[in-house]
Amino acid sequence: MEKRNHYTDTEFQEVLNGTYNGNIDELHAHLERCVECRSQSEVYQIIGKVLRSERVQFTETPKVVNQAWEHVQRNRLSSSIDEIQFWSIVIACSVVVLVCLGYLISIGTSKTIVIAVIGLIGVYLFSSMKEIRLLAGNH
Amino acid sequence: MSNIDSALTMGPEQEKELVEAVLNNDKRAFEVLVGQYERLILHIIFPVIKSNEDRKDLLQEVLIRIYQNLGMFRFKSKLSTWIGNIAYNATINYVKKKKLPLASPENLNQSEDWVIERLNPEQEFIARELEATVFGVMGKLPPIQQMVLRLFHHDEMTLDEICEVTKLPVNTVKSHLFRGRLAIKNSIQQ
Repeated sequence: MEKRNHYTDTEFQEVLNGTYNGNIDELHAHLERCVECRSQSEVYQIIGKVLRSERVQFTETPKVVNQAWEHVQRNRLSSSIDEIQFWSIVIACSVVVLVCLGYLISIGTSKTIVIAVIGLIGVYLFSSMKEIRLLAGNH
Repeated sequence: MSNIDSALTMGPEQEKELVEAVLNNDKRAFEVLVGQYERLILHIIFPVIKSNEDRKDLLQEVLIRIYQNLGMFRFKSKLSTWIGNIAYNATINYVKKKKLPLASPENLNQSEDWVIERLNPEQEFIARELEATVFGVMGKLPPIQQMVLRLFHHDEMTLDEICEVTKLPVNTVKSHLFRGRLAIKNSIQQ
């Protein structure tokens, strides 16, 4: 059998990852006779065993989980209130506009002027959506 | 909820069920999700962040980000790497934002809130001295090396998964692993 060089760190890593494509029997045979590779392999096993044996806990975690949960719930509630306020403002503005238009029509204003007023108010409201959203969120 | 309660042995379907339950505002499901990935998150945060207050703040930030972004998770990657990436990015941003010093070796593993229990049934086969040596050396390694070693050996992440979490090139991850193990090997041999 051809004598090969030492196995590399990457190859040991592949063995651990289960992605090693080489001949695993050959590797075992090599480990039998090569002290250096055997010691390297043992180090991998020791590190793996020791690190897997520790169980990490943070005593503050349950408290932090509760705080995080309360925070996201507050955010959810606040954004749904924002949404309700936003639509309330939009509906209120629309009612005011309709009342004004009704008044204009009732006093005999021409259709062209009424349509122009509707258009202007529409453009203004559309361009002010961002400000209305900010206003709604500012409670 | 029974599937959710046994989350430690979750398959992809149960994981989906758990995520859906969290998205439906189920607090118990959120607690199970955190319990499932707490160790992974701590393995990322703790080697880097020094003070206990900062650790609490950052953990809370990570949990909030997980909750807020969970609806965008499409199960195209593993939930563990997705959560790991959130924890890693949040940790790096937190350090930058607060201009914090990185954890120094002597601060690691010593906080009373950072409890390490060794519960492995194979414990009897591992000499205490050896354990102490490995943890002693681990504590002296740079935070990123400790993090990568724990992700690889403890959380059993593959190199590709660690790259996905940290966005580091594979050769950099390999190099961190190599240097970390070399330091441990040298001290064991001494």
